[in-house]
Amino acid sequence: MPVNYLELKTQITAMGAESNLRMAEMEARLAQCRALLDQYNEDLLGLQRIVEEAVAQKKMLRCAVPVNDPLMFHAACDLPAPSCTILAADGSQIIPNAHDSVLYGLINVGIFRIQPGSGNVPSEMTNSTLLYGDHLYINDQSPSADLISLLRDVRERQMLAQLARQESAPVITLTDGQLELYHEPRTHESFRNEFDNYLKALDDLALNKVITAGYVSRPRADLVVSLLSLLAGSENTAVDARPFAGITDIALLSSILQPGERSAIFRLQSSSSAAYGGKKALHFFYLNAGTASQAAYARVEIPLWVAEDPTSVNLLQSVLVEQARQAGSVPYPYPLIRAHEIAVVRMDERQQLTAMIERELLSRGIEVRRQSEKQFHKGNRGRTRRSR
Amino acid sequence: MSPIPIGRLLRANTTGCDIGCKVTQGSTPSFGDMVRIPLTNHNQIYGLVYDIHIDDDGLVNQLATADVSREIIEDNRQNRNVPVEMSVVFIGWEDTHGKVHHTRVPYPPLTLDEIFPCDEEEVRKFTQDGSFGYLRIILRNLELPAVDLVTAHLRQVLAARSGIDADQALEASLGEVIAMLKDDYPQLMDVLSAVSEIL
Amino acid sequence: MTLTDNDSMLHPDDPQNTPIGYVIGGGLKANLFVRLTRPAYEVQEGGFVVLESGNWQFYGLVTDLQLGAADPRYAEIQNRERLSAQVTQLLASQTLYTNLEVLPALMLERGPELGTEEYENWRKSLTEEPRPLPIKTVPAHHAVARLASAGDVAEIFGVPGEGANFEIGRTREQDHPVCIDLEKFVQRSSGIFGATGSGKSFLTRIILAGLIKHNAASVLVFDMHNEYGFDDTASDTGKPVVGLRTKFPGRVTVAGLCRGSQIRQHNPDLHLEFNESDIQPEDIEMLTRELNLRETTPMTLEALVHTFGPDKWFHEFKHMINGAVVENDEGKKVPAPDSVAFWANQAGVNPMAAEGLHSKMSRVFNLPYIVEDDPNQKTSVNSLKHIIEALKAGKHVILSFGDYERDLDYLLVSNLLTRKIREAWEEVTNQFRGKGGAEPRPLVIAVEEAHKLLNREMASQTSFSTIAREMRKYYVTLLIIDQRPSQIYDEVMSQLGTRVSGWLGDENDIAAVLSGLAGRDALRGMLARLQPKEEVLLLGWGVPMPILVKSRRYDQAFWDGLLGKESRRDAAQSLKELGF
Repeated sequence: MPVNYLELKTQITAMGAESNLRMAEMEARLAQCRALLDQYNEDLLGLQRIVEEAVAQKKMLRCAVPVNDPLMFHAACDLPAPSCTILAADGSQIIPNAHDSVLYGLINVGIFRIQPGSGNVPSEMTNSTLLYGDHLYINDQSPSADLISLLRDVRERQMLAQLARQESAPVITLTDGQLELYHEPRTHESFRNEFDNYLKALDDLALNKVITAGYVSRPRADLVVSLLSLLAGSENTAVDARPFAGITDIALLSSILQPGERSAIFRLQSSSSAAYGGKKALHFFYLNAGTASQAAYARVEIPLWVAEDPTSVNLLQSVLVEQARQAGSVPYPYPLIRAHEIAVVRMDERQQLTAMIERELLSRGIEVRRQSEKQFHKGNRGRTRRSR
Repeated sequence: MSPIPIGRLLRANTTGCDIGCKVTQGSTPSFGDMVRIPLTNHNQIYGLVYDIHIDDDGLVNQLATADVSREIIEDNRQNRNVPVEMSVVFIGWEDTHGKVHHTRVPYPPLTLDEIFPCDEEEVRKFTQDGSFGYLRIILRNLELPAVDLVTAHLRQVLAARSGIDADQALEASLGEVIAMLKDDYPQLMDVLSAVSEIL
Repeated sequence: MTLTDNDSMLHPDDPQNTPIGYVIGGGLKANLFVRLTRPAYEVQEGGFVVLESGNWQFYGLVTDLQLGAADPRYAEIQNRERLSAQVTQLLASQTLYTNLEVLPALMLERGPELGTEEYENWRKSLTEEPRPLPIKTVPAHHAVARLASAGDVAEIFGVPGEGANFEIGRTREQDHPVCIDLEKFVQRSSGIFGATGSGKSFLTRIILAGLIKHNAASVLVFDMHNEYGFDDTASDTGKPVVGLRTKFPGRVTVAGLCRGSQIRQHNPDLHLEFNESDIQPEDIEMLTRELNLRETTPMTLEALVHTFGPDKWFHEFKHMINGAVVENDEGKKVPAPDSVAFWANQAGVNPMAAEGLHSKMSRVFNLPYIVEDDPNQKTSVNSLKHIIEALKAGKHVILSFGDYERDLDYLLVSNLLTRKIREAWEEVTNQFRGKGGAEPRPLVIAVEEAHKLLNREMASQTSFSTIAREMRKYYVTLLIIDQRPSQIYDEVMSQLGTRVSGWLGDENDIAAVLSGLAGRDALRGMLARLQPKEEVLLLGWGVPMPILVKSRRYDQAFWDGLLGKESRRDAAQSLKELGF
């Protein structure tokens, strides 16, 4: 059925009208946030105490906690970045599909290694893991996308830890996205086991003093805003009230962060904080990796062992800015672009893999299911015939 | 001979196929190169690459706007698999007994594991009987760049031979071309003048 | 010559079997077309080619070569600038070609592949040996064409020296000997043609030598320019040319016209004279144009014969005096009794016509070789009779005209002698056929400047046309030697069996030589392109098929071949051996 444009037209008009109102509202809230930011810029201890008190009331509280830098702190970086080795990892997956002719999953991790300024040719590698058999069932059901995503994330960090061991310092490892895997509880044993593997990988990285970071581009987080939310309102206001809903940290800090500058380092307060104990405690800062003509904001998550080392932080900042600007019109760290490129599994590759599995099974006398009718008809659209 | 890594078989029939593959600068097949495609039943299909299309690469377009480092330049040159789409026209096939046929292939490849650029020995073997009738496939197909394709192919054929053998091959192949095109003066002269440049 | 098993298949590796092309079209009417697969310079107009098709071989003559191209642009545009040398050559070999036009003449069945069962069966089915036949069908498309080998030429034209085969020349491309059958040659009148300077005289010498050597017929040569009897000098090269008498001393008689005459400082073997009684009115009528005679002449001559008889009319008329008058009794001047007018009045002939005739005949009256009959020599040796008897006996006579080179002499003497010969041969033939006498000796009369005797105007008046038309029945044929065949009566030309022609430039002469022959259109250009003194074209009934040959050289090698090394002896030695 086609979209009912006529019906939607009215709704779009209403949406437009509401947007105007909302924008005015956001402007007001942003102004309030800025005022609070300015007001509490230096009051780090006071802010830490407020957060402690709030956490006592609400365990699920998620916000930024200032560490050593004033709220409005911003620092430039040294360019060109000092020599180092960058290992960037990204992963992709094939989720088992009951409608396919054969049931299997895939985790594909791509690693990109580059030594800026060395003149050496960068290298790349791929690690592919086929999921089949017992891997495919959890509680007699197909594994969830979350679990396979977790498996992927674990594999990324394991690969990075393994490769970093062979490198000479300084080594920077980058992944796309947060270091904090998820903040929803997962109770199943599989999740628990894999999470432990993830933490072990982080420990490995810590042991080798690898500068580890997670790069979140176009961040929508409001962690600093949530902190300021605790300061707004009266004592009677509920801890979980959100007076500045809709205001992001970037909206708040973009006027502060010049191209190449980072914000203050904050500690991440969240429900999973306890899991990331010791040197793994999660911290973050905001970064403008772009240029005067094209801003590129990112949130960079780092563990404690990196956050407490200014040299590492400075190196990380310089490398991120330098590598992001290498990508040209859309600043994003080049190593992560390449890692993603290496890792991605395209549809045709998936089809090829499926065909390989089918042939193997058939050669062993195992009957291969045909595609489900649903899948068949999905796949039929858009097929072309070679004319020459 | 190392195979050209294959990404996917896009389209195929008994006259040719289109292949998407990822190659590096050094391993990219050249226009007019002879390639062979082993089939699952141990037959082989022989073809000529008549079109090499490099897909738009968003990243390269992006990098073009920046002042990139030496390492990134080298990365793009040596590591990044260029997404290439090749079009191959089939010119013959080899049966399970090793006999070469210069006729339309009996069936197209159904799946594509590997495709090999033909080495000199394989080129010689394909053309060893001295008949170049398969050139009609190229010359009669209006959608192929016949002049350039024949020239490039003959360059490869002659390079695979030497001395009198090369002369005989040239004579046989051009004889075939002339016989086919002698009623089409403009096209024949285009082919011959192009071939003359490589001699 | 018949086909033998050995000759039916030439060795496949024989270079003479190299194909030169293949048949691509044509037919019996329009000639055959052969695509040449060899360079054009290897084949020339007049080449003798063989087309092999199935169980048959076809023999023909190349009459034209035409350049062609798959597309006119390949021929019009040179591509050396644009293409490499190798490619240019390849392109030319496939798009530019030469076609031969072949006049097919003969075909010969040679049967299946030698040594096969089919061949054996075929041999058994034959009732006679296959021989060349006039062409009746055409070879198949793509029938292989090649130049004729020695065997092919011998198959068609015979082996030199075998039977009556006489080598007249050689094929131009491969130098194989080409023969004419002299027995067949003398069965009909023949002709040797060619423009002045084309080598006609040498060719005539060669053929006469062959006839004399072979001795199939007696030869009487009317040697108007004293070329054939005694040794001569070539007018263009200045080299000596040996005479037929020198080489055939006992068999060739040179007769000189008129007592006491010398031929090239030599004394002829005999001197020819005619008695006045030999002259007949037709001999004078034949000289109508020469003497500018009037239409009253025949009437006057008839009256003379009527008055004086066929043996005396000439003598009497000669001794009449033109315009002689006497006074009669009345003192008037009247024609004298010995005057022409007197006789005319008596005979009822117009006196002025008679006097005019007498006046014009004075040139004839004054000829020194027309002598009065000797009344006492009833059985005297008459040189005319001597010649005739010699010819009958198998000798050969060359009548050299010496200093008498005027047309008047040539016409009168040739015609007179030929008339006598005709009468003699008719008599013998009738004897042979009626009463079982000896078969007449064939006689060939070689006539130079034949157009003077055989043109349309004269044709009805001379003995030559009679001989040309009829006398082969009486064992007499002509050998016409002429440079203006277009002026010879076409009825005479059509009677010619063998025609040997050197270069001709005039279109009418060419047409005349080819008149009545199949394929004449194709041969027309060939005659105009013959190499003077080098090449001749043989055609006509007397040869199996038209063929272009390099004519033999009339030199010592020719005589060595004809007579053996003994021919190097000179005439004096020969006479000595003969007891002279």
